[in-house]
Parts: sequence; structure tokens; C-alpha cells
Amino acid sequence: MKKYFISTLALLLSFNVNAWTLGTSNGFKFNSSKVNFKIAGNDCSHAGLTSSAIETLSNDSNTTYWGTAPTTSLELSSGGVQSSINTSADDLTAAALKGSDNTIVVGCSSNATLFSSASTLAVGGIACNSGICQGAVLLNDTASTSLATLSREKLIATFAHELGHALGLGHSSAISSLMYYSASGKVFTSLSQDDIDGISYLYPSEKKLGGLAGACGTIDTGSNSKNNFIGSLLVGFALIIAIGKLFNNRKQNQNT
Amino acid sequence: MSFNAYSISPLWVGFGSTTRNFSTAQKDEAGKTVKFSFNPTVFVGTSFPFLFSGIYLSPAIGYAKYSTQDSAKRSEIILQYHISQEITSYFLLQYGLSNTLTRISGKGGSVSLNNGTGTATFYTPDTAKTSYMASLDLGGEFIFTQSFGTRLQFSVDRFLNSQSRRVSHFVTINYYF
Repeated sequence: MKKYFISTLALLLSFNVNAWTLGTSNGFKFNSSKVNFKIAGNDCSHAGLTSSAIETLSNDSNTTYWGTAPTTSLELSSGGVQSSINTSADDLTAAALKGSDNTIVVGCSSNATLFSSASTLAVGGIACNSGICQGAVLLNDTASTSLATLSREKLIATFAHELGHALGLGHSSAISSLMYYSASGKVFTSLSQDDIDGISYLYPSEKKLGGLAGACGTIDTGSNSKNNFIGSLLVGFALIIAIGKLFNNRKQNQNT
Repeated sequence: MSFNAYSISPLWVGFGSTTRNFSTAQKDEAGKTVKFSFNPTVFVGTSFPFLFSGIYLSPAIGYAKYSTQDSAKRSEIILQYHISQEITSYFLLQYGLSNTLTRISGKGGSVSLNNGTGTATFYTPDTAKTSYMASLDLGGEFIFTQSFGTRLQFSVDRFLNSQSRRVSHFVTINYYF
């Protein structure tokens, strides 16, 4: 009977695939969770998108995807269309350098080397140098681009995928993930748990209920993470037991 | 059986499952979202009489482990600060706050994945990070016998943020000492 019970329990296990990755070996990410978009002033003439439409696309990708993860501190906001920024001939590095620290430059590019394949709809990335991190998302605006044929849902998802790279994520091996390499034949609705885990790793939400969780220590990163994790558990529960005992003793004293 | 406690008893242990991002996290390429996924969860809790008859302070600690692959790992410690209210002899309404500490980690290394035009190398983290989240909880506990009961609870995670507010649920079978 025990053997059958264990087998049945095993069948019930749902294998939530956690397969997210980081884009770089250094784990590049923005130093602050408050990340700003700067929209380039040039339009995507072949893709049929104005710079204003690209700003809307950026905001939609945030409200539909990255801004919805409950366990991240990431806050994306638009710095508006910057007419002084032109990305029409840029690769990712050139575009990123046109922004400042903690900024993602978003624009259109017809760079033939960058978009040598018509199947590449957009690209995104982040680079950090001497503590300054800059990112970029470039949409394929070559003559062969198929961006204009995409549904609104796929366009937002495509942009959000590249935005994930600009935030520091790599691809995921989980087909349901936004960060899966291919959008072909897929219906996009929201972030998968795998995407949420990845972005939460890069930009974890910080301890806001200081004291209530019983955590005494710094925000958890690196090797101290496990100790603070257990510390929260022990101190928090001890606090609860102490409060409960206090009420219990007061009640018993009143009854006697 | 009447649920009646005047000390640090009953102590209870529960085993069940946690489902995060109910009906919002995408679970397959068809666009369906998660309704239930079995993620083993253990809770230990207790109850104290609190202020009024039939009202109890019911703190609990839980631990949830999520299945992983490709070396990325996730687990949670859930600290619950609940009020239990005796509705009938067999049913308690429970509500309150909880704090979830989500630990995400990896064992390092690299992986080669398709990038549309070939493959590219990506990386898994070699350190752990912890993310904190506060939730508002509402649920109920059905007490079947003196020793066994079941609890169903819904949590509104990150309840103060309208954009990232999400719902989770817990279901456990409990044993009372």
C-alpha cells in the first residue's frame, strides 16, 4: 500500500520547469531597480512604427509583462522620445552608449550586419563598464523586416523578450517562457513562473516589513543569503511565540 | 469536536501544495495559465486565544519547494500571522498577513541554447538571492476529527501594488497534536 501511495504522489508532481538563464557570465544587470527607457527619435519606416508608437510599445511590454512580477523590485519608466538620439545605423553597443547609466535606449535600426537575417525581429542587450550599465533594444527596420506583419500581441511579446535581454536575462529552455528563443506558433498572455524567477533573481524585491519578518541583517545577496533566510525564520517565529505567550499568560491571570 | 485552546496547543503540522500566480502565470505555449501545480509545502503552526472568545492568534511557518531543472532552484519560507475565528465547531475562518521569503539560486556554469540563428551560451547563477513579498490572506480550516483537518487559503500577493498584485493559493491536510 505504501508503495502505491508513493507512486501516486509522484504522479501528482507537477514539474515546474525553472530554466531561466543570465545573458552574461558576469551577470550584468542594472545597479538600480528603477530603469528608464529613452526612445530614439527616428521612426521605423519599414516596420511601420513611429517613435511615439515605440514608446507606447515599451510601456505596454512593461504593463503586460515585466511590471507584473510580484517578487521583483524592478520599476520601468519611460523617459520619453529623445529627438537627439538616432539609432538608424546602430548596433546594440552604439545604441546603448547613447543612453546614460541605468537606461535602455529603444529604437529602430537598419544595420545590415545586425539584422543579416529577416527572421531576426529585434535584438536587446546590456553592457556594464566601470560600474555604469547601459542597455538597448533595437527593432529590425531593414527592408526585409517582418515586424509590420506581427499582431499586436506578438509585437509586444517580441519587444518584451528583447527587453528581458536588456535587463540581463538570457534565453530559457522552457517553451512557455517569454524568454524562450522562438515566438513561432506560440500564444502570448503573460510571464511564466520561469520568467518571474529570472527577473526576481536579478532584481529581488527588498525587505519592506522590517522587523515583522524578524530579519535582522542586510538585503540578501550572495553568500549571506542562506544565513539571513534562516535567521528570518527563527527570529520571526520566536517573536510570534513570545507575543502569543504574553497574551496567553495575561488571559490566564485574568481568569484566576 | 470543539476547537478550544488555552495554551500553545494544539500544535499542528500540515502537508500540501502552494500555487503561485494563480490564473496569471503562463504555463504552456497555448497561452493557458496556471490554476494548480503541485509544489510540496509543509506548515507548522499553533494557536492562542486572542482578546475575545472564539478568536485565536494562529501563527504558522511554511516551507515550499519547487521542482527545477537546468540547475536553477527556488524555494520559499512563508511566515503567516493569522487570526482564526471559530464559525462553527468544525470550521475556522482565517485571515491576516503573511510574508514570503523566496530564495532563488543556481549552481553556476553555462548552457548552450538555441538563439534562432544557431546557438549561444547563457549562464546560470552561482549565488542565491532572496526576494521578500507581503500578502493578505483569507481562508478556512475544516476540522474533520480531533486529529485531522484541511485548510484552503488564498493570498493576495504584493497587495499594495495594483500592477503586480497576484493571487496564490495553499491547500494542506493538517494533523493536530
